[in-house]
Amino acid sequence: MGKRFAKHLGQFIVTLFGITFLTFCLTYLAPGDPVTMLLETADTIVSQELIDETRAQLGLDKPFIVQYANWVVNAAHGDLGMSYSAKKPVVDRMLEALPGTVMLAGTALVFTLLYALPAGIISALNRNKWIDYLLRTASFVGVSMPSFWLGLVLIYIFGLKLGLVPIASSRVTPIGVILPAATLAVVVGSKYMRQVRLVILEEMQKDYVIGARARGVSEMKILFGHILPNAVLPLITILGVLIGWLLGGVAVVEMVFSWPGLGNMAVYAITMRDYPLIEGFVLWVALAYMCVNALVDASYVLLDPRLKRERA
Amino acid sequence: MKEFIQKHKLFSFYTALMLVIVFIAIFAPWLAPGDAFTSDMSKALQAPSAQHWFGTDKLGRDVLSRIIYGTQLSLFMGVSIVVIMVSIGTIIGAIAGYFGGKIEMVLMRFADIMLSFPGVVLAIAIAGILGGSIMNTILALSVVGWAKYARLVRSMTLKVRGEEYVTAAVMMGASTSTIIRRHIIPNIMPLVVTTGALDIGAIMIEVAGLSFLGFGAQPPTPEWGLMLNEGRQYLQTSPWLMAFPGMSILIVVAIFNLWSDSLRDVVDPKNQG
Repeated sequence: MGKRFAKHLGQFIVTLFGITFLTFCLTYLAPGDPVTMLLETADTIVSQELIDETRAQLGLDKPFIVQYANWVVNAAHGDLGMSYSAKKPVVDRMLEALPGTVMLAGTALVFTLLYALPAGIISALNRNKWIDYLLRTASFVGVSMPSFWLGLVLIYIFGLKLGLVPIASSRVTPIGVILPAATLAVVVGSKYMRQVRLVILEEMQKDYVIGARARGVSEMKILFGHILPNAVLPLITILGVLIGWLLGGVAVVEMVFSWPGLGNMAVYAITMRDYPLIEGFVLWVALAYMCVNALVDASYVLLDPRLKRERA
Repeated sequence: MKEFIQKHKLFSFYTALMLVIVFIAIFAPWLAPGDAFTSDMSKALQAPSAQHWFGTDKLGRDVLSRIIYGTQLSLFMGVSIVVIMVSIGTIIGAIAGYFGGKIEMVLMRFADIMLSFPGVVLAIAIAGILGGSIMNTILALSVVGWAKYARLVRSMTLKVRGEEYVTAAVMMGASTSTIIRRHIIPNIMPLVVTTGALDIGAIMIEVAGLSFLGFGAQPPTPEWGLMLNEGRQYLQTSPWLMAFPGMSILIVVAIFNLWSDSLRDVVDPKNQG
């Protein structure tokens, strides 16, 4: 167990460095100069002197590798630098946007589970019957549909035509979260539903299920007492991957709904060439994704008695 | 041929549908009923009519024609990106699996980093920072996508490498590149190709997504994601700008997904859900 943890921690750190370094390289290679971009928005005539001064102030005149090293040292102290566009510390800007994203991703996750788990189980239990075909077709359409288009369609129907929900809220509201969360849930949940169905089907074909059925155990008991407990581990593993999709999908969906979260902030940061903010966003996604995977791993130990014994 | 079609009815049907899309892409200039490129403000934002079946956009261009032209880019991007990422992944995976040791460790650690981060976020960052263009979209999605194939090919290479015919080839003095080219790659190709085909639809969605965000194809390119972005501000008054490009993506992606699913069943009949 300790070894397992150490190995994961090592990988975790390598990935953090790898991904932030890659982003740093990108911002270095990118066309366009953040300093001129920053000053031009101020709507004044920009002198070369001012450009040089600002560049030095931001530390952008130093060699590339020194810049990265500085960033790492500061980040380790919880300082991610100043956002060029928001003119305030990156950490503050991100903390403003964090609640929106957490609320959206959390609601989307709940919707996803509410849809994908029952649908996948019902579909597997009624294999090749009409309800299975119906649910599979629905999930197939969901997988083939771009989330941003679904978002627009939902805004059109529920926001513009029926007027049930606000179309674009620049504030975090419980009502406003429903449409973006539903959009994410359809796209991500459709993928998950297919996996749930496969996992359950596989479990249903195992000998112990046939044995239980032969002994006359009721189908309900077989499902809740045997199949589901055994399916929990693979389902949690897939859930970890799925949350990765959620973190990625959030950016596009937040943009469609003008939802004030981290994804929307990141898209804006990229258009504004606000490199510290982009770097902060990448770091957040990496950390969030890895925490999720660490939780998935920890749940193995809690849920799988075999691993528990290993620990003892 | 006739026998094959009868044996694989579904696959043949989806292949035919796919060929229709290819046909539309190739013959777009002849199929497009109106002008997809020249703007004519006097015709701006017209609702669907007998003359413009899918209406016109803010510059008065025929939406149906732009959608037909959009097939070209969507198809080209989906296929070329998958080919690129599968090729890179196969080469890296085969090298790692065949040589093992330090080379394997470095290559696979690199792949692990790519896999332990949500790909969409990285693709948005790469395409966005480098600037929106078709080349950068290809670059971004290939950089993000190769790792999965490297891992797949590596594990299969390890398996094939232990086979007797490879040992025999080594004993006969075949060079390493010959062994990889002649023995290893042909043996792992079927699975790699079917896995790649399954990705085409998802890649098409991602390409459209990057364009939608403004980090992909740039105006005036007829690209479905970009058309959605341009139509977004007219959602209330001109919903056809949103409806038709989106449906095109949905239909084309669905056909590719169905086709690749049935392709897998043809190649590997055991794996039927």
